[in-house]
Amino acid sequence: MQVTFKISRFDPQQEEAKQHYKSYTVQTSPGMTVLDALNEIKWHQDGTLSYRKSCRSGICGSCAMKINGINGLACETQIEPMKKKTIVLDPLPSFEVIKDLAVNMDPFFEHLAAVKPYLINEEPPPDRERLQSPEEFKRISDPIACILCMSCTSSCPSFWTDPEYIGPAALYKAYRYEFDTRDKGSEERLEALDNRHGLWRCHTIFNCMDACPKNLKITHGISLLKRKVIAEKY
Amino acid sequence: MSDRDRGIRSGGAFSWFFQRISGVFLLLALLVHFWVLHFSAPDHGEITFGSVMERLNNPLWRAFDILFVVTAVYHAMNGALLIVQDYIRATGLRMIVVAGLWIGALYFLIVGSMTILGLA
Amino acid sequence: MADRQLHKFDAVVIGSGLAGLRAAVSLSREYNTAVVTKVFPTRSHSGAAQGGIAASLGNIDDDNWEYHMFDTVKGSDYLGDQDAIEILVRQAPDVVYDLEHLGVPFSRTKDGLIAQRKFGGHTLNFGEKAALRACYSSDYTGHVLLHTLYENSLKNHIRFFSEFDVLDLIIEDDVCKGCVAWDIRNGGLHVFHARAVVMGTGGYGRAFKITSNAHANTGDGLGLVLRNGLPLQDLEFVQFHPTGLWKQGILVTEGARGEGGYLKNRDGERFMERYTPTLMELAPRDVVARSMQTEIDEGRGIDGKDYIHLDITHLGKERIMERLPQIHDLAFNFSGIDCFKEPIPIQPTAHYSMGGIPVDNGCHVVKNGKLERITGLYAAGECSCVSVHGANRLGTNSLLEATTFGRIAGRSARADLSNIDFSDLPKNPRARAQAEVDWFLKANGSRKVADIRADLQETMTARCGVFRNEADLKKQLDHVRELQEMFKEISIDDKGKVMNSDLMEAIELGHLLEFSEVIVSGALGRRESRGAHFRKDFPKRDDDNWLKHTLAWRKPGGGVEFDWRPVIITRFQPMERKY
Repeated sequence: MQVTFKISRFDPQQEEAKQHYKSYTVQTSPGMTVLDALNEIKWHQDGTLSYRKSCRSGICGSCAMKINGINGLACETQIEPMKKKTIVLDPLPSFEVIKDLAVNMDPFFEHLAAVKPYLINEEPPPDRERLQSPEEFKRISDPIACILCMSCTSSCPSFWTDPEYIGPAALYKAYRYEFDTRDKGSEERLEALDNRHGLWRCHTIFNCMDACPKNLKITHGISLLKRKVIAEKY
Repeated sequence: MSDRDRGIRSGGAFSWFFQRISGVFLLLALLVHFWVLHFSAPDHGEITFGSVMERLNNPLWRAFDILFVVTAVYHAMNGALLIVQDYIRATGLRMIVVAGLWIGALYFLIVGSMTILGLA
Repeated sequence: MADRQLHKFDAVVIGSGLAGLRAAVSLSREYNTAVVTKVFPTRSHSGAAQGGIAASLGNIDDDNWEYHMFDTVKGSDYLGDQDAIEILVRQAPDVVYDLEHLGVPFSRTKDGLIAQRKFGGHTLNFGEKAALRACYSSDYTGHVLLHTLYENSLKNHIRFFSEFDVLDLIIEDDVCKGCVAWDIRNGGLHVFHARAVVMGTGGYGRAFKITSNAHANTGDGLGLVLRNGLPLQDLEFVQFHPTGLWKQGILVTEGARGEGGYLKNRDGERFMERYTPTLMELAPRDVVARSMQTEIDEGRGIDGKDYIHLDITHLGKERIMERLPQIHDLAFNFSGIDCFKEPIPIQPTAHYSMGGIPVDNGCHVVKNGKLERITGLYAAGECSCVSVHGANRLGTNSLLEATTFGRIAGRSARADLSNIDFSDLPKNPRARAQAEVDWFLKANGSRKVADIRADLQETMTARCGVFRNEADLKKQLDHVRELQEMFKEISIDDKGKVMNSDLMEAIELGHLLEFSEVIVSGALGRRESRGAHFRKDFPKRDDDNWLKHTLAWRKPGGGVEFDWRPVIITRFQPMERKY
């Protein structure tokens, strides 16, 4: 099958740098992914194309981009089942583009850091492991699979209008620790969560869940987090 | 007010929580309102001008109606502000819309209260 | 004007996988620490490890460290240094508890303890029966370890220089004074002046065509060490993981067999019966990979092709989704297979490098077989060779090694830092790196990086793979040298400074070509079969001549120079390795 890839290009080093599309034709085969096609283009047609890649097995989160209008991982997206003659690739929306399909990830990770995404528990640990039941583990088994690929936050309308909104990924990470029975950090995390750019900017739009390549129940987790904060406050 | 707020200061825990509480209250109040207006004929099985005026002069019913108006306006205003926050990005347009919303809200509050209190 | 591209830190960690981050978390408790990494930390390939981390916690069965030690020694085909292995297995429970305390979410037993499962080569009572030793978190073990350590790095305010590719180490008179890195995002060479440099730069699966490794796993650290005149150890030992997705090489965790999965040939036969009747599918990786390759070579692959079936259908949907959710997704997304109903097509895939930068038991990088150190330079994890894995690594021992020796590297550096001061940088520390970058940006040859790389990967898999022989290896050694020559005639398309991945790939290929020569030379030299290194022309282990580690230097003009270092044997005398 022959597929045309219409790829968003941007090179800040050129005078009057402007985002534009450039088309490439790739001969696809069954099993070929969007990342394979990008590699084919970069390695054999145009070495100046920039995008991030690493594990190519859907676990590192490097290659998230907008594929035909929907955020997802290039390495996990099979081409032929899409049954499209033209596939449009854009960088993740609402992040600054560094070059072509690579965006500036700093704001995303600053928001993540803001929710104190680590176990807070000042009690001295026991000699062995802290105990946790399988049911308690199950409550956090969904968010721990998050790969921080930025697909969700970049697809969130609340984030599009409010760049200070910490976004679904950071909130789901907060959920992961808030609902970890070993954690005692609720009070410290409250400041980042309970403000106008925090938890309450989530209007349960569900774009994040549509975009998530790992099919995580992000909105569900954020809703439980809202309830927890309200229960603690009122 | 930070420059990113652009005219909107709501959107915290209270706004989120109270939107839900006011929603539940409105649902119940609407049922009560609907019932008393259409099906609550007191003695003779008929709703008359007299029976309605009698109720409207009752201070408890007035308090209920005022609460109803205030909650409805709050709920609508808060909801509209959240939508504006999400969908109107240009600062100028946002200011105008928010100002319009405030004027509308005040208008409904005043007119509603005047009607209930029999001042109009 | 101050040089804004000159940074001064007590300690600089190169690489942000498990070993690097574990070292950094340890160092940052006392010292001003920076992590310099070519991919963003959570993109590191440690996150792709699925099955588990070994530790004799004995949460389910009656396990202890001596059993773990025996298995590791035997698994290594007696090439592992037993003093180092003893450190590894004795610290293992503490390392795992420590990780749990840092916040790692482990799957649990019904009593709330860390859950453990079976893994290849791990046994109770010196080989009696399979042990439940692998601590796990569904099939996301590496992922949750990596993320938890990254999150702890945030807690400890470690400075990250993400997307900085280290191009050179600054070593003078056996003292490491820092490193030079290219800022991938903006271009430009930054100098990191440090009192201690810890390397956690990972492995090099990308030297092969079928590999479980990420695009980033090009063994850059090994190249850096070679260029600085230091040796590499045991590079001929490359682990081929039995279960890579067919054609892709993407890892299907050994946990799939640990949970009870079957390997079947074209006749639907569980062929491991004929090779290792006791442990069946749970024999060590080298044994299973060779058994599979034999089936394939003898025409018993599925439809006579080069793959085998991994069948987990009998485990049932519920167990698969609870214990192996990622495998379900991988099989579906990359092979279009519904693993509830159909077997998964798999083939051996280049997975792990047992060899690497020689270090002593404190993770100090050494410059020769006499264990003389380079002051201020440490290495841990897959890039290093302590050696705990010897000729073959057991599954779940890699996460353990990375975290244990990552912590040891951090602690060694902390202890040493009280005595090491900043030493003066050379006059132009950037010189060599600058020359390298300039050369690539100006190169105007006709050859392409991608073509040379594909050629290297294909021939390495074909001639230096699961089975090796003298003729193929000789051919490959010549071929690698040819490719090195061709590499001098390349050009790259992107001449810019911003996000120039074209340049990065060229630099990576340079490393691949240099240490591939060392891999092949080592394999050619070692005239025996041991662990993952199998010579068809020398199919037996030869303890009289080859119970020793290979140390290899790359001569400035090309060619490889060897020395050897004895294996340290303490508790377990070499015996025949049978499963």
